[in-house]
This record gives sequence, structure tokens and C-alpha cells, in this order.
Amino acid sequence: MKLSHLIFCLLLLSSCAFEPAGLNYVEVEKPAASYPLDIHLSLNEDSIYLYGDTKISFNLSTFGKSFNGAMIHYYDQKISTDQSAYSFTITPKQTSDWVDLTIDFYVSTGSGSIADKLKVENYIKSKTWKIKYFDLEKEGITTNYLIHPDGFLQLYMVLPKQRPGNECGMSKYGNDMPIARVSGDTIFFNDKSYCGGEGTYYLWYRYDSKHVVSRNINVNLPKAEIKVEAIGLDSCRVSWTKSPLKLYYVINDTQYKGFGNEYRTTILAAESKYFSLNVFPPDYLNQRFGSYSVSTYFSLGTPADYFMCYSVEKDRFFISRDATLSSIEKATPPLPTNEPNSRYKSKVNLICSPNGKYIAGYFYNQVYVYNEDLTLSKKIDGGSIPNYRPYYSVTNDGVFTYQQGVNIVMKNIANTDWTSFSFATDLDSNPNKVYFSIIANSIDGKYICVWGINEFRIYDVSDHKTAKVVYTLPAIEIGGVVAHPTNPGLIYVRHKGVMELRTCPGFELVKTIDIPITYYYFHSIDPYSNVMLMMKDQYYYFIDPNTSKVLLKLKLESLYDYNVSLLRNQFKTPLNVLDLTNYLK
Amino acid sequence: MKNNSDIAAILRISICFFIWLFLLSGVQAQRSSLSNERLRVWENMILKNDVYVSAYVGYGSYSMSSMRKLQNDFIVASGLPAVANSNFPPYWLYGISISQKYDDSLFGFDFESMSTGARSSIADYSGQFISDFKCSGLKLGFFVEKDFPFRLERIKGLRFGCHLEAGGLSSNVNQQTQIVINDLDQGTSTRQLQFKSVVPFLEPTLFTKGEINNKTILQFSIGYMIDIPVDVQISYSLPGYQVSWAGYRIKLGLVRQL
Repeated sequence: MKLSHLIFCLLLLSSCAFEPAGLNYVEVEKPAASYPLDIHLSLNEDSIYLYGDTKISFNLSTFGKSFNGAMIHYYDQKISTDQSAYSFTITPKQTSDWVDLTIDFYVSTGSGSIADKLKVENYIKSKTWKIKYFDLEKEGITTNYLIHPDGFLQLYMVLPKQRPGNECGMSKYGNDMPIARVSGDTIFFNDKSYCGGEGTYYLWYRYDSKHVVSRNINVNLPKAEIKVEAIGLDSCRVSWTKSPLKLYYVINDTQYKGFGNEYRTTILAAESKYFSLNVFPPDYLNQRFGSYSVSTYFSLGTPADYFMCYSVEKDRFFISRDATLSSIEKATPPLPTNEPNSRYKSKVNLICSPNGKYIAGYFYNQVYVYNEDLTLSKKIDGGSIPNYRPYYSVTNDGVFTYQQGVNIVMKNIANTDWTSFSFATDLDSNPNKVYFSIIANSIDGKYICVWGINEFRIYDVSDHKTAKVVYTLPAIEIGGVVAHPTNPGLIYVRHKGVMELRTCPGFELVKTIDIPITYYYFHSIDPYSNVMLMMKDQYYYFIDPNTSKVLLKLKLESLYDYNVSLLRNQFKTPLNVLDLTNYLK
Repeated sequence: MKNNSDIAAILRISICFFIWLFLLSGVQAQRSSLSNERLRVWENMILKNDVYVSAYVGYGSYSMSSMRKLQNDFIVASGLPAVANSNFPPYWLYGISISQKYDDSLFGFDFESMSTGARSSIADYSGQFISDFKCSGLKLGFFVEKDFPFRLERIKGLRFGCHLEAGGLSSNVNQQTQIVINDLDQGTSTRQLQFKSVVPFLEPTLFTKGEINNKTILQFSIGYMIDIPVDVQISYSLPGYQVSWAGYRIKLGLVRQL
């Protein structure tokens, strides 16, 4: 044998190292395809709300099978456990989306196979929940308010879902308010003292021993607004906005008490009536806190605290609303209302000639004369004019006539050759002792009728220098005199108790007028409609001289409320103006 | 696989045993002084040049008691009712040697390869589990061989003798566990471990041999190898687990005089 053969044989043999071989196969029955498994999670919800670190427990019932393990997935976390009852804590991430929490449970099939013994043959049950983090500072708690069917304010807080805690409360301006009712996850609080307006409620919720979150509820139900509307010329309806709350209302302490929102009462023509509405909470018998009141003044017609006059020829009103008195305004019905805050502003007491050419006003001993363009022309010293029942007039010839004690003073406001003229009468120097309508100028300025203490006289003042008595009667025969507003040759006079229309200065009877009332005071005649304004007792009577009918009757606010006028059916009082057109037909 | 440190360890152990055997041979030649005798041995080895090479195949039983325990531990650890298919059985071995004749004795080096192993396995519909041990041993020994000074009357062509070998034995154990799970996308898992150890051994052998021709000898031997096992090493010492190749050896080889 050659050496090479020997080496070859050795190499051949050395390749025959021991190699293990064989495989023991055993027959094992395959397990069933599925097996019932029951999972109990501490939060038995499909969606889990996280408000912070949240401990979650699960318990898997394997019904006799051995539990191999579970794999928990959430966010980027993976937790494995070999315990069928296990707890873990989720530290949430502040994501805005719902994310999955998935737990895969692995339960042995129990087949005894290799895979089973190696725990890779399992019944797998996978369950997924949705989890989301809610920052309770911003979301997760719903608060709001509602009106309880019994009419009081009810605030509520819907606690976070799957809430970790239950302690909560509410306060208003530092005053704790008890929980009124709990319904499911909603906590109700009652505020029976709330009547409206702004209110801030502080609701808090403690979701663990360290954290309290709160919400503010701002309630601002509108407060009652009072509204007064005229009903005809003698009453008004006071109403106020209806609140969704069942509030208790009191008008002027006693005039109205109840839960309604309307009240009717009477009002006088020249009355500024004050209404005070006190609003009390639903539980008004026990709760006074929160009540409030609103008030208003109301008068009929249009508020008009200005002075005005009327030119029948021009069918135009002139009114004085300018506080500087440097100009006046013209107007036609409907007449304007007050300027804002006009109550304490200066206003000149206007009067104009029937032809509308001359306009003057009196204000603190000054006669303000205005041009036809309504600007101030000049001021004339007028001396003292009694401010109680003053008499003054402007006639068509441009003479401003007024009573100054026992004297009648005539100021020329036209640009003619005389300036002033005055004469004494037997008028009582104390105007409080004489009757109303003691003087009447014919509208042409030629005659002045004076009903004095002893006599009724008609003076001829046409030369503006002397006052010549052209007609006299005993004063007792006369009950009042008013110049005809459009005809300079006529006067209305109450002669021997009968209203008559007579000539001036001849005093010849033109006709008698039947007045349906007795013991009246003849105030004035509307130059536009000729309606006669009478006063008796506490009423104004508006009488049609042609038909002798009382067209309207209005109650006075006071017995001696003379400072009114009826011009073109506009009944002007120091407070307001009522358009009586529809009533004086 | 052997590395340099393993070879160095085998050589170191072999040289130690060579010195020991050389001194032992010196005791047998004590008729003259020790130093003079050694010089004469070296001179004869060089001058006479009776060199033999031998190649042999054999069959050995291997103790491997610790490995059997390790195999069982693997099965227990797996939790599977695996059954042994093979359990470190006796197996073939191979070797070569080179020797020099001196004064009716042969002195030489022997290089021998042994292998055995074990398998535990189980399989069912769901997959299979296989745990394999593959053990290989490489020994390098120095031997001295001497014929007995007698021959059998009936077979005068046969000679008998004894052979004593000592040296180092390197063991390499590859353990591989394979798990295959069906119906899984990545259902195959394989894990491998490799243990190593280097130990001294002593192997006394009785042999008989006969000449085939004037240059070739057929030799049959029976022996028993003794080793002193130590804990195997992975990257660290694995206490309690050794690889022991101790056991009976039967070898048949050809010896050729160069």
C-alpha cells in the first residue's frame, strides 16, 4: 500500500464523524379552533377617558385553560404579563385624537403539543379600547344653566365621563350653594335668588386628592325693561319684558303685585306719572337678595316742555327749544318732542301775532323779539311780569302787550315810530285775586278788553299813545272775555251767565252760544278749529261752539292748572302736547 | 475548532509525558550510567533510522457521563417530553502515528480523532424539537511500544506487545437545539452552544501484529483510555459538566516501515 493510499483512506474515514439522527414523532390531537374567554376590565367602557395617570385592571377568565400571557399596547408602549389578573397604569399623552389600547390575551390550548408546551399555540383574544386624554382644565366638564320648570335658575355640571372623583360644589360671589339634585353624572344647583342681570357662578370639581378644576358660568338674563303705553287719553298700560324666570313683580309698592307682566292704570292728560317696578326672585318670600327695581316717568302724548305759539294765518307753530334763546323753530304737527336733557334748559315763553309776522318771548324781564326768519332780532326791557297766570299777547300790528300789576303795558316790537305805551286800569294789582281772562286784545291791536274789579271796559289803544274807554259794563255782568282769534271785530264774552259772540268795540250781540256746562271758566278758543276750551272743577272741556257739544273731557292734574293751550287741536301743557285732532271732530 | 492555545496546551502536556516516559525508559536501562545511556539512545535513533508510520481505525466506547446528564438537563429545561434517539454511543475513531525503533522498542507520536454524540427529539403536528450533541476529540500523545519476548507456537507469525500512550486530549462539543413550529411565519428557532476542554490522558494497550510483507505490519490492539476530565468552557467555566472520553478502544491498523 502506498502512503498516498493510506492518507486517502484516513481522510475518507475522518469525514465520517458521528452525526445524530432520528426523530420521535408522537400523535397529538389537534385542539378546537376556538375557545370561550371572558374579559373583565376595570373600566367597562369601549372608550376610556383619561384625565391623568389612570390605573386599569383586567381579569381574564380562561375557564380551565392556563393563561400564557398578555401583551398590552397603547401609544408606543408595550407591556407583557403572564398574569391573568393584572393592573397597569397609563400615563396619557396630550394628543387630541382617540388612540387604541389593545390587549392581546394568549391562553393555552391545552393540547399538549410541542407548540402548546412552548406556549406558542394559543387561543388568542384581542380586544381594543379607545383611549383619549382630556385636560379637565379645558374640556371634559360641561357646565351650563337652565330655567327650572318652577321658574328659577338652575345650574348644572356634567361630570367627566368615567369620572375619577365625585366631590364638587358651587359658589356665587363666595357664597357656597348646596347641591340641589344629582341625576346620573349631572349635578344640579339651584339659585332661587337670581332675578336677572349678570351673575357669575363658580363651579369646582375635585378629581383626585391634589387636583381641582373649575368652571365659571356667566349668566346674564336680561333684566326687566319697563314700558308704558297710552290707552286713549286717560289711562296707560305698564308692561315689562317677560323674564324666563318666574319673578314676582311689584309696581309702586302696592299698585300691583304678581307674576304677570302687565298692569293698567289711569293717568291724567298733563300728568307725569312715576312707575317703579320692583322685581323679586321666584323664592321672594325667603330670598330678597338679588331683587332690583327699574322706574320710569310717563306722560301722555309727546313730551314737550318747550314753549310754543301758533299763527293761524300761516298755520304754523313756533317753538322755543334753543337754550341760548338765539333762535326759534317752526313746526307743524306732529309736534317735536323735547330735546335731550331739556328739562333744566332755558326756554323763552313764546307768543306770536295771528298773522305770524311778529314773534316775541318773555324771559326774566326781557322781551325777546324774533325775525320772521326765526333768528333773534332784539331784546327789549320788559320789566317785571308776574309769573303767575301772566298775560301777554302779540297783535297783528306788532305790539307786545302784557299786564304789569294794575297797568297794561304795550311794547312796540315792530320797527315803527313808537316804542312803548302803558296805562292804568282798575285791575287788581294782585293778579292772584282776579279772574282769568281779564284781558283780551283784539287781534289787530286796536282794542283791549279789561275785566277789572269794578267794570268791564273796552279801551281804544289804536294810537298807541292814549287808552280811551269806548265801552263799559258793570263787572258783575261779565264772566269772562276772549278775543276772537281770527276776527278783530269780535269778542267772546260771558255776559250775564250766557256765552255770547259780540262785536268789539260796539258790544253788539252777534249770537249766543249754548254751553252745555255751568259754572265753567272760559279759557281760550282754538284759532284753527274754534273749539272752546273750558275749565270746570278738575276737568277740561272741549266744546264745539257750533254744535254746543262737549267733544272731549279731560281731567286736570290740579284745580288751577291754567297754563295750557289749545292750538290747532294740539293740547299743550307745560309737560306735553296731545294731538286731539281725532277727538275734536 | 482548535486554536493556537489548544495546540500549545496539547504540546505542553505531550512533552511532559514524553519526558516522563523517557525517564521511565532510563530506569529500564540502568545497567550503565543514566547520562551515557541517553546519549546512546539519541545516537541510535539518528543513525539507525528505523522509522514507522501507522494509520489505524478503531471503535471506542466513551464514558460521557456528564454529557448525558447535560443532555437530560436540556430536555428537562425545554419542558418537552423529548426522547433520546442516541445517547453518546460507541463510535469509530481514526488515527495516525509515527515512531522510531530503538532497542526493540518503539517511541513515537500518535494523533487520533474520536467522535460521538446524542440526540433527543420529539415531533408532532405542531412542530418538532431536536437537541443534538456532537462531540469530537483530538488527542496527541507520545507512546512507547514494546513487543513481548514470546511467540505463540501455533501462530508463529504473530507477535504480542504492549503500548502505553500519554498526552493531551482536546474536546469540542457542539450543542444545537432546534425548534420548528409549524404555521408560524418564523417558526424555526435554532440555538447553538460550543463547549471545549483540554485534559491529559493515559491509554495502555495490548496488541498483536503480524507481518504482511517485509515492510508492512497489520496490528490489532485493545486498550482502555483514562482521562482526567475538567469542567468544560464556554466563555466561562461550566461547573459540573465535563467531557470524558474514557472507555475501551479496539483498533486495527497498518504499520509501514519507511
